[in-house]
Amino acid sequence: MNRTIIININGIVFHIEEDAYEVLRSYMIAVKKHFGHTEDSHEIVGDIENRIAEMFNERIVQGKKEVITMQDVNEVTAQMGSVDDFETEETTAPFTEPSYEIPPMSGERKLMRDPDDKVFGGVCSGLGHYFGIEAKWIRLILVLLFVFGGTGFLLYIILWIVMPLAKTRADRMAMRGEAPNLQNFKRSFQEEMEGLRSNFTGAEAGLRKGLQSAGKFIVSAFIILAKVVGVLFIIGACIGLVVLLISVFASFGFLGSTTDMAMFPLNVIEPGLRTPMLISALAVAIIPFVALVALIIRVLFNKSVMGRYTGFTLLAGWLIAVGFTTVYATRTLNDFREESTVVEERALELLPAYHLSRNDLTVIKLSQNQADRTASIRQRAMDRNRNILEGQSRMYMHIAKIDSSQGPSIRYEYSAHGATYDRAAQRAGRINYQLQQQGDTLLFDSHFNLDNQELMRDQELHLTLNIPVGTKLVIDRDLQRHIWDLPFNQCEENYGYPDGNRPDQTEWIMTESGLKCAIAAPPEPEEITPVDSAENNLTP
Amino acid sequence: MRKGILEYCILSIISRGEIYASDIIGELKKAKLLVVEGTLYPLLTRLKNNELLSYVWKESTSGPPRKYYEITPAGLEVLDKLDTTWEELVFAVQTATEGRNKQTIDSSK
Repeated sequence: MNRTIIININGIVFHIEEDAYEVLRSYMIAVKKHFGHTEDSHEIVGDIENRIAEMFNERIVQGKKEVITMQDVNEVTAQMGSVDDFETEETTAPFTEPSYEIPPMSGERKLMRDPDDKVFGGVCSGLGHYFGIEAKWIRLILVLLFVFGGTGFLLYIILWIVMPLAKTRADRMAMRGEAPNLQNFKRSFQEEMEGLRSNFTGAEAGLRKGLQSAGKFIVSAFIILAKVVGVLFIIGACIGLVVLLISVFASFGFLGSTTDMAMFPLNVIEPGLRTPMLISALAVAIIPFVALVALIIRVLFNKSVMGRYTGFTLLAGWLIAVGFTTVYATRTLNDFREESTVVEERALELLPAYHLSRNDLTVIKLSQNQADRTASIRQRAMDRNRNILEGQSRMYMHIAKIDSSQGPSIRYEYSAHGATYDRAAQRAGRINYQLQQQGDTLLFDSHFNLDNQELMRDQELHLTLNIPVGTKLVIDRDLQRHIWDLPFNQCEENYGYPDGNRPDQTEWIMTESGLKCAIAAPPEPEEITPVDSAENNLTP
Repeated sequence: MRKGILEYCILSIISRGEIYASDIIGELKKAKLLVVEGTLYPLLTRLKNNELLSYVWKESTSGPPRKYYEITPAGLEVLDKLDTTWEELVFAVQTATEGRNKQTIDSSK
């Protein structure tokens, strides 16, 4: 025994079992929901209801079977088809869609080369599909790029390499951004039909479509422009990165090699920290750069280059590198805060004339009795490489006048920077400079030396040579660049270039009004020969 | 593929004379083109909206009044064009598959 309910479909009354009614009701709700979003849904649902009513009617036999049962409902709905069945047949609505140019999109297009429409590699048509405009415009842009500057060629080659070929039908549909489902596979025939049907669409619709596509073209032209700029930026950025890396390695040597890394700015860093500093500084510079490129790719091509975790790792790495660099850079800068100068004065043996010459430390000199030439050369070369930096550790000299009653002397001014005055002074005291006196010859080292472990802290050395009035000085030509305040050119001219060359040395005399060139007019140059060979080393 | 063909078939069936929806279903089922009736109604509505079809209400002896569909002149015109397209398509498919059939026969020998 079952309860029945009386229902009314399109004006016809049916008796229906309660459970069967529930099934029918949910079926109709599903149908209404399914067609709810389309136009004409009312009519379609009406048609379906009508047909159901009719089928029920056929099943009722007066006097024998007057109630609709569960079985009837199941059979009728099966004949009508479930909402899922409608779904697959329904989604593309070929005869109501106003435009066929835009196929249903799966949301994401793939950048692939189109083998069906190609001139060389199908790059342009692939780009056209990707940007949703005709391939001929891309071709035009590329040809223009090729004509003006030739970048189009490079771009084409790169894109050819980068873009995969759309081989399968599914590939080609992905390229056009169509979801690879059955409807879209079916679409080709419908397109054919649409081509015929277009004869029947009014002129107004055609005009509207034309306007729409013109608007779309402008928008996509902008998008393409942005993407082209983006691609160029990425290419430029990559080239810049490679150049940066090459120059870093060329300047500082490969990571891990310590001997070559004494160059500025690395010589301000403690030796053990040089490699980590270099790596972290590179990371600070490069990570944002990589992120920028990834962002551009993501914004312009809607393609995520790095995963979330890669991104976070990079961010964390960058923050650590920034922290390390900042902390160490602050510490290093702090070490430059105080400047200290240590002054030392030594008397010179009183002689009527001095010969000032230079001992060039940048040239490796070998003495004849040296046992192991190779080892000696290596040792000197290493000293030179680590500690003598042309420009940074050069000695500067000034020649000052003193009264003839006073004895000649030399004044050393060592200066350096440090975190505290005390430490700066200590560092200045560690500057190693040699001056040798051999008879009347004063042999000046061209540069000062730093200890192997010493850091570059703006060390400087200024010498002041105090010369009594009346003393003669013969200054070698290669010492000229260490002395700022003497008019060497003028004095050399006085020599008159006897053999066409500049004189090897110039002679000066200390007068009451300062150091003067000993040669007044252009007479014959005078040669001064060493008088004494007694050796007298002067080391500070 | 089937969808476009379905409309072509429906137009063809209706072009023979005014017909009731369930009879169209019968024909399509016979041809194994359509299995469920529910799908037909949206199609018919669409064709009607495109003015390729029209319908008239007719009283039924057993039940509610029925819609009888008939083709319009515009529908006939479209059908005519579709006939040509179909012939072209059949020709194309035949031409394309002919060689392959021969080949498979050859290779099976």
